Amino acid sequence: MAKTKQSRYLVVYIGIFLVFLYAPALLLPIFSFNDSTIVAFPLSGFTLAWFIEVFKTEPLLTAALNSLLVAVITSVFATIFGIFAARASTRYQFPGKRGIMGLIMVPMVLPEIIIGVSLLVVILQLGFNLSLTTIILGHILLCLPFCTAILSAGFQGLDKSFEEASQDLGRSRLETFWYITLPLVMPAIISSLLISFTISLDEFIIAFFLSGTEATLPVYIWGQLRFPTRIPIILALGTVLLLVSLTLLIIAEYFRRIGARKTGTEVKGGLF
Amino acid sequence: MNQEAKPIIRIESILKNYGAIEALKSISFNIYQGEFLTLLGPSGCGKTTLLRVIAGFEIPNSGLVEIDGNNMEGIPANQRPTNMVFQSYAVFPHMTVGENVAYGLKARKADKQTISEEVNKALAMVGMQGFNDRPSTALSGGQRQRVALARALILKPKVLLLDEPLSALDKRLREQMQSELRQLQRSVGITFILVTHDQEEALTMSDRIAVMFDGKIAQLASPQELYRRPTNIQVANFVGTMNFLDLDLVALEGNDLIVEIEGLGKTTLSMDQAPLGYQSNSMAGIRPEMFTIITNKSQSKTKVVKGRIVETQYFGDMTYFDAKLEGTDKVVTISMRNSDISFEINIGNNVEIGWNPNSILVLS
Repeated sequence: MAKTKQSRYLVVYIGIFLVFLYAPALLLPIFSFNDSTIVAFPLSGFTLAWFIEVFKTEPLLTAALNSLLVAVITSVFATIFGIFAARASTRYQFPGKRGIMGLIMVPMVLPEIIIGVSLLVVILQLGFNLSLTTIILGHILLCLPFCTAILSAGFQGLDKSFEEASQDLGRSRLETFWYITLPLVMPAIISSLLISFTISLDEFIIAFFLSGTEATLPVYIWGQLRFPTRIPIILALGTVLLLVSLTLLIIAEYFRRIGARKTGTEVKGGLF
Repeated sequence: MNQEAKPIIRIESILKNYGAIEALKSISFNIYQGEFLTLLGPSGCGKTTLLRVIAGFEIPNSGLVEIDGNNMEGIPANQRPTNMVFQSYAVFPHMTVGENVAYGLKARKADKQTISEEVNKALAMVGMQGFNDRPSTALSGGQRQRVALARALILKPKVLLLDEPLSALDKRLREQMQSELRQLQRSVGITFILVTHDQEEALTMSDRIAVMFDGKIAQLASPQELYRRPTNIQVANFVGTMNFLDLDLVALEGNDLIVEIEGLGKTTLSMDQAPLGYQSNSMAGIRPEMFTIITNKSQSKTKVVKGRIVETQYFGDMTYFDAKLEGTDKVVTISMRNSDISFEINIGNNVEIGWNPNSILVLS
């Protein structure tokens, strides 16, 4: 009896938890269809005007494109570097390995504002101009620990004898890496790309410090919040982003599961 | 084994250390063309390490590996004329059966026509014809084993290395694969080196067996020789069952050892029965089948001791009896073919046990 009572409390707790987690996010699409500049109940009418406005606002589209560009380049580079680090840490023994791996993971716990300020100081001292490139550099630094962690798990789960069998059958180390290792850790690579893309896309602090004249989307949105009349446009934009990220996640998870099935590993974990 | 045949592999003074641990302690021996050689030993004895040294996955600290007359020093695994079947089979899960088998030939840049013919031949050889397009994740353990074999044999290696290839299979399949492997080896004529910890597997499959303990080869001999004349207690214990009885030397007269054996009494042995000579810690070893429970007075040519049955184990064709020898606490194991037993023998029965001094080995 006590057990069922307890589990009833747990259900209530989970219910409240989920409401607090998702209700604000659900308000976003509701108000983005509302025919009023004031974000408050009662709703005054249905409109698609804000969405049309989103796609007509030139700087907003530019910022969105900038963000996409930064996120794609960041995720690719962070994942490539992550592969190097993960491979080295799981397959080879070298002096100072623990320390080096530790240093790679540090940005995960370092406050972003510290990373942002220090990078800004260094970049200005070196005489570089702030641009999308500097944002990308900052984001790679920020994403690398996450990518390394995900990829290390992937490489660790890979049976060494697959690689040995490939070499035994006459393939060089490089060919083995290309034909055997990469396909078999593909699920981890996809996860790494996805995570770093998401982190970069909505990262604000580093982007804010390191952006020059070209803003990324979060930086642009922050700037627009000063104008109350623009808020419904931001909400509409947010709705679009929500849909895009959900679609992306579903696609990525789909490929991850196909990959996992191909390599014969059990489909578990992941995002869904 | 024909010792005049030229060695396909020459191993000389191989030493391999992992930090302070000596995995291989100066191992030297030859393996001959077309031979089925087994490295047998308990886990941690260095047998897998030795196999991996031959394959090129481990670099020995010192010593020489020569394959078909060529020194293998500095030659990586992918350039050695050896192929390996891994314990986990390592069948590539992201490829079909056909792609797995073709993998090595593609590396050699063979043309498509040749590859497809060779793949079909290799699959037929292991009884998997028509499996080309099956995903390799949909295979059973035995099928994976066959794919791994086909994948290695398609490259026509000079030596095929097998790392405990049957340990993951259930008993029935394992026995079937043992005889298939043996037949396959005879038909392709390739030298096989098998690593196993299963002495029965080693005895049934091999031309020669190298028994390894603690990084050293304790004995290298044919299965028959190994079973009949193990050179020390460790080998005798690992290969088959052996009764060990305390031994006291009474006198040494020329080639004769006059000894007092616990429970069996005083007897004369030949020096030939002590493969490594008599030492103060030597014991008398006798196989269970060399004892006979006398059920018929006409078989009494051998020596006889009295004993009492304390345990029986029935195996269908055979029965194993544990008998306590009269006047001692020593329990010996006796195996008998059930067709040779003419009356029922039960626990508590007093029996007469026949034995022959010729079947005793003096081991240390």
